Amino acid sequence: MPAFSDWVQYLTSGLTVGCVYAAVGLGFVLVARVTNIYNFAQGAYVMLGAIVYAGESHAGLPQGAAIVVALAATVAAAMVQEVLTRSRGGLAGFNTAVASLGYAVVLEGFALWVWGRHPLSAPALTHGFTRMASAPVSNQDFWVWAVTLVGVVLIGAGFRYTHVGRAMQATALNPMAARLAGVSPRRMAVFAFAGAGLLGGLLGVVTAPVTLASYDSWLNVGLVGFIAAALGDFRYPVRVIAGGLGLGILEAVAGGTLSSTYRELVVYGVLLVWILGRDLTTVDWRHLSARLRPAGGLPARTAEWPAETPTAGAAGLGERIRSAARTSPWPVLLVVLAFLLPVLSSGARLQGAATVAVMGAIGATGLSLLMGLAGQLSLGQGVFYLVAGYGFALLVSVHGWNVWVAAAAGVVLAGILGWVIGAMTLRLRGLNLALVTLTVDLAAITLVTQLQSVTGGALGTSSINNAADIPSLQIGGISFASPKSFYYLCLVVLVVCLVVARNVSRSAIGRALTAAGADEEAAASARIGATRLRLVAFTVSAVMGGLGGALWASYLHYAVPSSWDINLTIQLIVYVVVGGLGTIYGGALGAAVVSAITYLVTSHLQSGSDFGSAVDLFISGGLLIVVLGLWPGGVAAGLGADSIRRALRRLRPAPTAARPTAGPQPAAGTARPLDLAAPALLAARPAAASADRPQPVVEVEELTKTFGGIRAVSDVEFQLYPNEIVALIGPNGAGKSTVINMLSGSFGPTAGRITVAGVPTRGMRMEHVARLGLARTYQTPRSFAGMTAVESVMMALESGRRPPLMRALVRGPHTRRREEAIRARARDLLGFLGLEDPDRSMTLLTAGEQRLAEVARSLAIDPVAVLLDEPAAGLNDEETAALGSVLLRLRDAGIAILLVEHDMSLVMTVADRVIVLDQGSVICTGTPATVSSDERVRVAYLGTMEAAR
Amino acid sequence: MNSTDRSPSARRWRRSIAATLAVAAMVAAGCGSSKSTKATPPGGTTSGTAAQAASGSKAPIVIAGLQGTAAQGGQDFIEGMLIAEKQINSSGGIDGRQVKVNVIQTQGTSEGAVAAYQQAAQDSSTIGAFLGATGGIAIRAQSDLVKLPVILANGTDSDVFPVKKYVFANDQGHENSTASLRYAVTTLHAKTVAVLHYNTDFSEQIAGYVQAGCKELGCTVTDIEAAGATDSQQQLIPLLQKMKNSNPDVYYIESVNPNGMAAAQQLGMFSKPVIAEQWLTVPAIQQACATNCDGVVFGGHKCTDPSLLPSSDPYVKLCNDYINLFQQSYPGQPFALFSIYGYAAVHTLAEAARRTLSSGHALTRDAVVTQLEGFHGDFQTLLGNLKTSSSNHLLTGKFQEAYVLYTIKAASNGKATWALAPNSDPEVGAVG
Repeated sequence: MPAFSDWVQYLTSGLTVGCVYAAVGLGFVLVARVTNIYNFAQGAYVMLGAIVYAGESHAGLPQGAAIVVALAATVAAAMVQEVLTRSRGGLAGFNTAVASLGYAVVLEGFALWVWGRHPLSAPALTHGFTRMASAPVSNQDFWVWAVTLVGVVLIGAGFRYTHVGRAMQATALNPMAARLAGVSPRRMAVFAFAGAGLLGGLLGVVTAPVTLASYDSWLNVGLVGFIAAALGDFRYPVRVIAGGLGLGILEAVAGGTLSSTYRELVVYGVLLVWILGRDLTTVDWRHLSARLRPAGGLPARTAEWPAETPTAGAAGLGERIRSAARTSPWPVLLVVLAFLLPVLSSGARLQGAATVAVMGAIGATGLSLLMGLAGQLSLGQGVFYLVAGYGFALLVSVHGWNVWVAAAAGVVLAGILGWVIGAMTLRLRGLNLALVTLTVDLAAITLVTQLQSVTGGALGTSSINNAADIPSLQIGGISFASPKSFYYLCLVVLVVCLVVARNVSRSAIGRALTAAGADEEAAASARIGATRLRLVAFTVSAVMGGLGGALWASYLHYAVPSSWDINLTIQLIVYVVVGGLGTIYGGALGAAVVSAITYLVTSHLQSGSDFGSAVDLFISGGLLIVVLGLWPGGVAAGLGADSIRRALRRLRPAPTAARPTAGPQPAAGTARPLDLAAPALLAARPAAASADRPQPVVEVEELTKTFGGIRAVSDVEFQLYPNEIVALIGPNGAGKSTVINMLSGSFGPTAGRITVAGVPTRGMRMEHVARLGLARTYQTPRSFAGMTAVESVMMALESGRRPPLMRALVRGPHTRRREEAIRARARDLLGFLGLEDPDRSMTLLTAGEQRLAEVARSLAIDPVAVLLDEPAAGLNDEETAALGSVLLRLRDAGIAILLVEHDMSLVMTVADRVIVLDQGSVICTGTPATVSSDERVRVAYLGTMEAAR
Repeated sequence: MNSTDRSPSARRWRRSIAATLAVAAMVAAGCGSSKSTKATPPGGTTSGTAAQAASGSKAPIVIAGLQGTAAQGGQDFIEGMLIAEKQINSSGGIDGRQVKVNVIQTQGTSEGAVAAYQQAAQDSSTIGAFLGATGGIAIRAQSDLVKLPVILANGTDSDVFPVKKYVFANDQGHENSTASLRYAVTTLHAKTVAVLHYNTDFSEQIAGYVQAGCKELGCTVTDIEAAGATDSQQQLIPLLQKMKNSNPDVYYIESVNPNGMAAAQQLGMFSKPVIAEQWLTVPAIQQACATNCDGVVFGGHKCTDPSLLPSSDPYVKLCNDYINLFQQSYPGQPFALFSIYGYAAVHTLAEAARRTLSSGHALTRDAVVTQLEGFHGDFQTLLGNLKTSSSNHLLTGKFQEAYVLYTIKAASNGKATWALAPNSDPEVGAVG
């Protein structure tokens, strides 16, 4: 048992370490909270502050002057980054985060060039120790504590109590509105970057004496700072401080009391349990049914990682990029070039670089599926390389397995791990998911490095007693021993992965993932249970990572942790972002581009000296910034893609897909006249209304919803019958949308009972309610970025049954025929609703067209009842009339319709029954004529004075 | 993401390209296999090719310098190789042929080292290679396929890795790690030791070396702590506190991360002897550690500071000559101690080539291996008189030939310098 003074020692050391983590995290928060940028250069500011201070002190500058120079350097570096970011259009999201990594690499090169490769010591600001309960504490530690304290106070109080702070926050929330209020977003960004630079510089100066200053120290501190910032949701300084201090103290206590070998593992383990445990607190444990099902339908609790859409000035850019990249010619060009590479050059170094790039591209393709298609931010793709690589190497080297069997086992192991991580993180989105995957990756790297007796530790599997080298792969008479043949083997595996990724993206699973990634709630309203699909995406992505890892170990003939450390994960993310998130080929394309740049730079400069290595870093980091600056959506969406695609299109015959109707068509962008020919879906429905009153399909009893002290809905009761249109009307704030949200399962009622098709829906998630046959639309159309109107309807049509994974992966003729049939049905349905040119991206449709597409999507689930939330909003008179006809047609097809609408002419024309809500309560029910003459309704709508008059 | 490009002609077009490529791949793979099944190493050069190209030739004899990035010593190793190249060529070369050092970048990674090694093997006039930094273990795993003799100086030891035909070493990682332990036990009479090492490939071996050494010397290891090589002073303090609580007679603190020494100073651990390995011979690390390393004892090469050696030591002249050569080649640049490994590697490979040719054999890579395995104390480098065999691929002499025990002396102005360890027996060698 450690003595009391030991505990004090651990705590004070941990406090100092934690302060560093927290202060770096604060820098992240400062920039993120104002610009929505996750700035990985924050770690580089700290490095720069430390190395300038140490270097200038060594050069003989007085201590005070060295500090001033260091702070000036970091602020200047931050300002340069701000200018670079602004010149790139202020884009937020993945690409800016990756560009900030590029900038950090440039700063690393600068530091190496000026101050060299060796770590530098720096003079302490205060010398000596102070004894605290007999434990010696370095006086320098107090400076670290003070800088952190000042940082949190200034940032926390500044945001809350100062005009500039409030203006900064307003800029982050809505730059346009902030500009209208007289706030200059540019100036706020300048303040944020300058503040982050100053904080980083200060931290560098006070930590240099206790850490030494080294040009390459920024990544570690940046990563832990990122974790601390993420624990505070990149928003709350106090939480960031708590997170950073917690990590630091836990690390120190674990190192001092448990095991230095596994102290990091203890930290990662606790971090994992905490994140997952924090998430579990959102489960509604009162409802067993909810507990037993995957809980992906709950809204995300934390801020999402920003989409790649701009913060200002270029709305919809990312979506256009997704759309533009659909028919990318890059995969074919890339693969052709890759196959020709060994013919063009026989240099082993080039082939080696290309082989590593291809092995990286395999896992990056999995990551493209996960990030681009499923919208999941994973910072742990490298772990699947690690697991499969080690699984393969150990089974062969130590246990003597056949190489192919061992490789398959390694890949399966990676797939299982992917499934487990996916299952663990089903509920997590955005930063929490990123944190968990990053933590798992770091923990696995630590475990493999420390478990020396099993894995060989840092030396790799070659150092295990009696371990044999991994023999070359061989099939029959074909050996893959030569670099060229092994390169082709990797390339074939990559092509298979690309085909599988393409198949998945084009399958029902892909459409469902895209929809859920774009708008999970709207997808759930179309019966899409995102959680299970995400699990599929996670597992497929992990398998691809595993393939890359097994090949990698075969390439090296042993497994070593340094091949698959956190740098690999970062590299894979860089590949995906540089290639383009908007295409599943982005990972492979990015791997090709980044690897080519790196190879060209390093081979032509013949670097190795400090200066040469610095130039490497300048060019590598600089090109990353330039590439992402030129093509924010990635290379696939940029360089010549459009022109090549156009050229390819000229070689193909025009699309021959049948239109649902013949005759003259209106111009694109307008709804064409209603096609009254019944679509197959509706024609297949049971015969309409019989004379006897049927059973209600939806029953609502004593429905109540309170938000805090506000009673939004109070004791509402009604039924919906087949062949009936019920209008739910009332003034703004009456509770109409709240009723629809409770009916559809968006959130549960405070009290009351809802039954759909005879089944109580309490505790059910949205997609399960939808599967009972209850469809809905939204007051503001919920489009799916990256999908066409046809695809969104196809997604809903296919959502009734679990998509077969193997068919999605292979996508054989039967699957394609089936998809074509579904596509025809989707076109049929959209044609029925009058939507012209349904192959346009959802985001390119007019508001009215989006509503029609949304109605089509709701009908595609073959509903017994449809909840329409202001479907006529945004439609012109002609379109509204057409919509009315559609509603009547649907009613006649046997569907019950609950219509929330402000257009009274439409309501009075189509409604069979009207329910009037006011202040959450039903004040009148009856036929349109009855309701329109009801005095209470007139009062509710027109006010007491008007009614009295 | 979700392609709408589904026209049949486009699909046919893509499929035909894909099919063509698949066939091309299989053909290409098959071509590779046919070569491989004839025992051709990657890169298409057999171990005899060098002989065929070299027979009666005056073409340069190439030695590949596999260079890491800005890692410790990466550049230094190559500087030593280039000095040796110049020295050999200015004295007439080998059998009238010039020696050429071909520098190939490894990027400091295992994968880069593999590619660089394969690249080196592609050149049929390359007789051997040298790597002084990261990637040595990866090269070992490739060596049976590539079949190019390689000398490594990355601190990995034959205790951990069995001898491989084409792989040699010219540094003494084990001995560098344990020389100070023998000093602690024999001179300082220490019975117990606590160890702090780091998680790099070289450092990871230290724990095993010290445990084996203590087993031989009769001391006990009271505690072993493993840390990150870039951990800060505060991160290391809890680990050092544990070491301190184990109450050993002497502390073994690896010095590649000088923060460990600073933390030990903070905890008052220098009241007992502190020993280390050879990293403090690197001036930059010594400077970074400064007064925190005052009194630390460690084994290091004699060329670290020849002025400390007795004038009778033959290494005084050897080292001074080499240091002069270095300074002529790189004027104004501080002497880079690690360059001696590259320098010695080129001389060793050149000597093997010279002996091969003078014996009338063709200059093949296998012949070079045979010569490298055949030194019997008849060839001296800065690393000692070489004695090798097929089971001993260490291209050095005895440890005490070229190495000595140093300590750090801090001057009153805070500048640290090296001094010989007090009362050290010049015959003290490594253990374990």
